[in-house]
Amino acid sequence: MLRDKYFTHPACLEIGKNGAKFCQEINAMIVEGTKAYTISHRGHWGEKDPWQTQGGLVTEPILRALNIPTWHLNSPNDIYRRLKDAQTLAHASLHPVAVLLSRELMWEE
Amino acid sequence: MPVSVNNSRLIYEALKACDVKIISALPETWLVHLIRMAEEDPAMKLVRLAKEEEGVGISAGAHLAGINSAMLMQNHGFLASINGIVSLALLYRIPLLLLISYRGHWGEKDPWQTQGGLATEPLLRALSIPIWHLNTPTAITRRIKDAQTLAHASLNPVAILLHRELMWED
Repeated sequence: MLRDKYFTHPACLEIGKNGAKFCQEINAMIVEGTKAYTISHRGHWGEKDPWQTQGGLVTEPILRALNIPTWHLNSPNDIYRRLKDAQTLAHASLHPVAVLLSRELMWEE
Repeated sequence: MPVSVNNSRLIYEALKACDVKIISALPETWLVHLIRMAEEDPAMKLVRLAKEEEGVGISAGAHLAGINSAMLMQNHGFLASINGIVSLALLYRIPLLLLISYRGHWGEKDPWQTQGGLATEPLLRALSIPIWHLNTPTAITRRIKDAQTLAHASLNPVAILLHRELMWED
């Protein structure tokens, strides 16, 4: 359930035309009304699909370029704490934050 | 209109000198003369886009057909086209000649342009796209040719940022 709610594609990271509006094309999730983005981190460690890799390579550099704080979520034990922390920071800073959902968290081989 | 006709003409002639046959664009104030020149030139194919990202596909097709192309856009259009640049041009090594009107930077009076102006160069660097700041008419021909040469040699997008002092006559 949580996985479905929190899915979004890293390659869809973009900025809207009307200024500072930061948007996601697919399944963007707004955590309780804030700009806390949860992003499935495709195209990174363990990725087998070549077409995902360029997006995976640029996701973190783009987040850094936009000065968006990022957390790599890769353990189920961290989920509630980190999402709550992300929301808290987004509210306090009035700035987008991003949680990257790693393969080891989201995919069971 | 204070958009420089003379410098727009120089840019257009530089693109012609690079044998550019296809230009993709959306309406943008700073680019209005360039777009009009392309529209009035029977030797140029102007592709009007619904969103800037589509221009990546146009230039990819042109490249595969052996035709030189250029993409005209505002920097907010570049921001909107990042997914296409990453998932098509960078993935499949497609050269792109991006001519980007650099709004929201030095001299900008419109507050709504400023965040895009602040983010443009960091995002180009994040994508490892080489940048040239074009701010003087004397450099136009050389820099556009150099940009195209690098794009073709590297099979990578390159970006020319068209500055206010070049495009706008206050």
